[in-house]
Amino acid sequence: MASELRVNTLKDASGNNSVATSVVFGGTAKAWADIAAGGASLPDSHNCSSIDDDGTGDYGINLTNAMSSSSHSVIPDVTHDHSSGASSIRVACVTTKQTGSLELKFAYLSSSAVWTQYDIESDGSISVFGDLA
Amino acid sequence: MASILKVDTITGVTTAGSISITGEGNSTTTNLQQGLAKAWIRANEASLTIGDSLNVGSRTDTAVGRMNVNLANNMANSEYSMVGSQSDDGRAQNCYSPSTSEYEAMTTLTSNQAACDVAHNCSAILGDLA
Repeated sequence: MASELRVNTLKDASGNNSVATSVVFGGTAKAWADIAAGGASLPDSHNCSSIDDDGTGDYGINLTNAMSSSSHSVIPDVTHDHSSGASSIRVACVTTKQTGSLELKFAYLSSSAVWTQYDIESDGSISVFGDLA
Repeated sequence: MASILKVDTITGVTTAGSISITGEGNSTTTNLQQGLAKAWIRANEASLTIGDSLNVGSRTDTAVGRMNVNLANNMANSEYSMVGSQSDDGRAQNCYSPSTSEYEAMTTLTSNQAACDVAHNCSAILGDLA
């Protein structure tokens, strides 16, 4: 049977470790995704409907349920072995945030720290925190 | 009326590992379990210690700038989201080589792209627990 619980505060059974449900809900990631090599797909994700390949190292991720504003936090990262030699440092950044989507760019830094966009070799990640619409 | 729930474990009724919570805008719901970080760590690579962590059994220093984060409870697959950062100027952090039981957190000097240890190597993962 489905059930609904309305409560302001959670505590453990001993009455300790009090936490407001607003903190639990606010601290819950509203979306996350594992991005496949080349930005081709999302092997696993939460609240992400699709990914767009907008060019070399340029991807867009669309959310299933939108955020309430574009002021949410998006944390991107890229998976890479930094010991693979020169130009091994990889960088992920968020270029645009909208309520229902976000745009990402991935690059590597050359030995002279020149930013060069590239399609990720292994995978990338995002986590989204903020308020749902 | 204010209300307090005292409980040690919360489990879904229809599916044990799935609880819906109402979003801040009061119009949509999101899955509580899916939104929880399944592990996080702040580790000091110089002193080889863990400052604080969740669901981390241990850390293993495999080389300069390379640290394995060994999970206490495994993930269901290796396709989880990994995000990280570090604390020192002129350095970069990447996570690498995820498996169900561990992942690697690396740090590099941006000036010469050489591996380096940092004071705070921080990371978190989101995905499905086994």
